[in-house]
Amino acid sequence: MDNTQLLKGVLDVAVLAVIENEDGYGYDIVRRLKAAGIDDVGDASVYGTLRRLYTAGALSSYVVPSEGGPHRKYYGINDQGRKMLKDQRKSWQDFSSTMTNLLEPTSHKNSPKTGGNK
Amino acid sequence: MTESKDTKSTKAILDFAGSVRGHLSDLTSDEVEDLTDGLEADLAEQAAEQGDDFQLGDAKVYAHELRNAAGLQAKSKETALGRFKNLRIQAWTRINKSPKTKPTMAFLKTLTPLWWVMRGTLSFLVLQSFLVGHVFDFTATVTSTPRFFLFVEWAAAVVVSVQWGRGFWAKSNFLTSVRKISTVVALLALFPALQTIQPGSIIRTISVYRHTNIAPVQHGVFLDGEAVENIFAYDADGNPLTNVQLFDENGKPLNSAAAAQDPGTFAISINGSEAYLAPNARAPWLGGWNVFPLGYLIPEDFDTEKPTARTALPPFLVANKLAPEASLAPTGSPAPSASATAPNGGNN
Repeated sequence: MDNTQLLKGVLDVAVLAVIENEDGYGYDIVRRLKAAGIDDVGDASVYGTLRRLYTAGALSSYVVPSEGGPHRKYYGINDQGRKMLKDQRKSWQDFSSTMTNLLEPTSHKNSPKTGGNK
Repeated sequence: MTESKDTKSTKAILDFAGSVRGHLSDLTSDEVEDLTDGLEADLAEQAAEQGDDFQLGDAKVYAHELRNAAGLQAKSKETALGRFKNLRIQAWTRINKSPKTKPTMAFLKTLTPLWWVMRGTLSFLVLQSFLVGHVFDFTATVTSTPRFFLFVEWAAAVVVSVQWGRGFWAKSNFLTSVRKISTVVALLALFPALQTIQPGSIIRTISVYRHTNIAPVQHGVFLDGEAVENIFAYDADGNPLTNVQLFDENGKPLNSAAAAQDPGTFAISINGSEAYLAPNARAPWLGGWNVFPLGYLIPEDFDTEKPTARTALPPFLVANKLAPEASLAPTGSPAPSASATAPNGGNN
């Protein structure tokens, strides 16, 4: 399955998660996501997501000047972003648990008529 | 990586980033800046990390991905205007980010507030020139308007321009259009303004209006506030002189007030009839307006192919002789008086 499609729905929470403990700039965040195993993510998608989260008020931003190279625009999570992360983390856990049960061969076979996973 | 390779890579990154911005040209400049700020640095870091494996890809696809992820609306059908905007943004990006031009652009950027003031001033001049009917004639503009309105208009134009520059007062599409038009008009007005306005003259002019209520520029020689049309000189014996060249202490010609007007338009009265002062044809290098007494032409003279100036009669045929130096009284020498012999038909 193409992970890119799956990733689209969860990129927000993934980005929020990787900057939860440490602020980062665009490519730094891409690198963290890749280090976490999300290899298929495009850097443009991450930069666009950062901008959208910033516009939505979930992130703060500041510029760090650099003597040697160009300045860096850092993003950090704020209170609204932490709340968003908390909510989305819970949603993902519920959803992934549901999907895991659904896709589990034994569990799926045992409850074909109800279709529910308890 | 060799230096040459680095240079190529830097150039490719600059081109790519410029192209990406170009593909986002339908967004506002703030949105484009938000989306692509630091793009070159990120790509450069990627290039350094990945070495020969680094690929830039398709700028259009990259811009599309960036836009979608940011939740911004997809671009509608590309128009000729859009393509022009696209090219403009690419060129602008290249100038701003290129290592060769970046320091210059950074310096110019610090002068931006000066441009805001200039744009306000130029817009004020253009607007004022329309109001007084001397379009783009800025000297006439600043000398023909009441002082208070002139100052208020100028100050208002500068404040509005500076606020626009700071990102205020132009949020609506209409006001954004007004700002853009104002910028273009100001740029167009820059050249004529530099030709006609010397630095600081606007402020000086306004200041003169504010404090003295006297027109700042008046041409010619004045006596008791009245323009002197003609000058008659006499020698020590009281005989009238002709072809006398007059200069001030700086060597500037002391011109008749007639010099400030087009030839044949400075009307005077000779024996109650209309006449026009004429410059001395023997001094064309200075215009001939400082060689006295000036001759004059009557309307009929203009019918001839080469009109010759008529001789203006002096107010006195002879003036009083100067006293001999040896007998010079401590109280000074006598001045010419009305009792001197007057010719018939003096200038009125």
